[in-house]
Amino acid sequence: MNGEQDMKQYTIRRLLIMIPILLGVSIIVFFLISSIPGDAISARLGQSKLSAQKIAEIKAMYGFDQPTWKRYLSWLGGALQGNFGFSFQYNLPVADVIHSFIWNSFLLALVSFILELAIAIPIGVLSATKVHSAFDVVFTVIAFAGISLPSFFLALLLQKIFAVDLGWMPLEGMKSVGVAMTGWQYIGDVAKHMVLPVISLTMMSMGSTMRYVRTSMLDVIHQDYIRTAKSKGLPERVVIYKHALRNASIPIITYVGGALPSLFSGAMITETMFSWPGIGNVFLTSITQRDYMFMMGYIMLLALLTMLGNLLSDIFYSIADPRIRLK
Amino acid sequence: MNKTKEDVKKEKQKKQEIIETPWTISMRRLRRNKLAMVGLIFLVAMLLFCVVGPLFSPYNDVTMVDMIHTKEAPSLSHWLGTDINGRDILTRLMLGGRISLLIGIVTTALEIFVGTFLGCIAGYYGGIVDSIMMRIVDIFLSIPAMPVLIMISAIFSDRRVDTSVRIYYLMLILASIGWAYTCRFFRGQVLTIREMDYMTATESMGLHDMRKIFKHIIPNVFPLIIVMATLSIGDTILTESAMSYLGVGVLPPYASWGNMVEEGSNMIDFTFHPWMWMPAGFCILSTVLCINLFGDGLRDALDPRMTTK
Repeated sequence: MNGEQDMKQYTIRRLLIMIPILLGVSIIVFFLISSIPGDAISARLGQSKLSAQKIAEIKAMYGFDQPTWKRYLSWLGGALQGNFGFSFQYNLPVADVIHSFIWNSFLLALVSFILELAIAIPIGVLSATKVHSAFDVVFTVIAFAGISLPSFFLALLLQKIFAVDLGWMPLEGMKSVGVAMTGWQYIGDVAKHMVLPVISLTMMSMGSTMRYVRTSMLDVIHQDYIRTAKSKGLPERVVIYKHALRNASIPIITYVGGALPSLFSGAMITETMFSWPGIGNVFLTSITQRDYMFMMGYIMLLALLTMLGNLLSDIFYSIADPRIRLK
Repeated sequence: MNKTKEDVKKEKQKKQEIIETPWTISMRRLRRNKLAMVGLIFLVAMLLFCVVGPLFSPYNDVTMVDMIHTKEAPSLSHWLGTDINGRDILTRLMLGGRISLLIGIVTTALEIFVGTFLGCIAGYYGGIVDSIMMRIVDIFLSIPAMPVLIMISAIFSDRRVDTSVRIYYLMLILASIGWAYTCRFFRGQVLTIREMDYMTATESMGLHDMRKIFKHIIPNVFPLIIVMATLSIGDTILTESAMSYLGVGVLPPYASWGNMVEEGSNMIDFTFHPWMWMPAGFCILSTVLCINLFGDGLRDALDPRMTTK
């Protein structure tokens, strides 16, 4: 009966399982990247007046003349020591590039995640208590519309309506260009630039959360102890918010735990549409720039975050529901 | 007075003859779900619009260019206006819809076929086969789909693959990432089915493995296959349209809803010619929305655990 010990062992084992999976992902992705014709050196120096021999020398300097498997091994060796290579786009180590952009992505993701929960949980609970009512039907359609929205189109619509036609919000970017600002003024400016991308992200993620909360709540409402609580004459409000919601919150907490790592993963398309200097935006330009090392680093980061998300949701599940024993 | 005793008897017999199979019960439940029915009707309409529509259009040539009538506002001759090359937007919506829907359906078929087959094998044989396959699935599930899809497509752009052939490659690429989830899901289903009594019966009858899988396991997961396929078509259309929008999916001259939005999203057309990009965007939204509504209704109807209705 030492739960903490169990939890520790379980976590360590899960973390160990991640290693072969990450290795597998890195092999597949590295070989895919290597099969892109052309390389960063040719992309940058192809137009220059350097002789072919000189270019070949530079390529050799960066190891581009080596066979793929040798380059993979040297990448892996570096990665194990925390060196993920050099980003040609920014002339900086990949880890530094990630570090300087990831917080912008986190800012957007965190604000929209909080909004998403604040909107989706109450609506999901209400939908479940009034199942098949007009309220439920309307929000079912809204939830599915959110799931079905193409990110680029939503961004364009918001920009057209609120930035171009109404002129309420800035069109894109993270801060106004050419204006020196300090303190609160600066924060206000960034906040204003955040509004549209945050609305965009929230609308897209809200739908599935709403459905998820509704289903979890419905599962609980149909259980026997809820019928008992109702039949012994407890007021509806107490039954729903005290008895039902407590158990329905187990899957919700699990979901929140699993979503935490993804706050760092960046929103590729939304960030690009709004020219937000986030990590996803940087990744899309890295493809056109042939910035292999950054592509590799970012994809490995995403793979790691996905797996951490799975692990965290399992851990949160066992914390929220003590009946669950992790094995 | 018209009804004789004979007739009443016949009617009674008729009523008894109608035996409710799980399938008819499910379909009745589905018909009662209004949102799902609205979704289905819209989808059929959309299919007709895309497949039959171009036959009635005078502008149904993909490569036709009319440089005199470019970027015209909606009018009687061009109901939704014209695009940057003077092509009729309404016709391009239909042609683009054909491609988007085709990609959605073919990709899903591939995914489901491979995923179900491998999932059944892994779940049925268990042991070392299962362990190896599930580790491979783990790897595929951890690969971030969108970044890798865009990257692979960039490879095809660099190799200058012909734009018409590219559409088929696109289906293969999309399916190559998507099969893992289906595989994991059906493996789980097969694990529970394997423990059922009727599987023990097939064991004692000495049936061949393949016969057990194709005759007794797959028919039992079939309702779930349908649900999964429906929802997956919607997801695939969303992914394809995003890729086409980014210029790495379906490329011009072929129309896809995604690349139509892209063609109208430069600063000038975006501001002054909204008919160039809005209709295509709403086509994606409404089609995927209806697929999701219908798929959700289907899941409620076919899932025996959902007996609340």
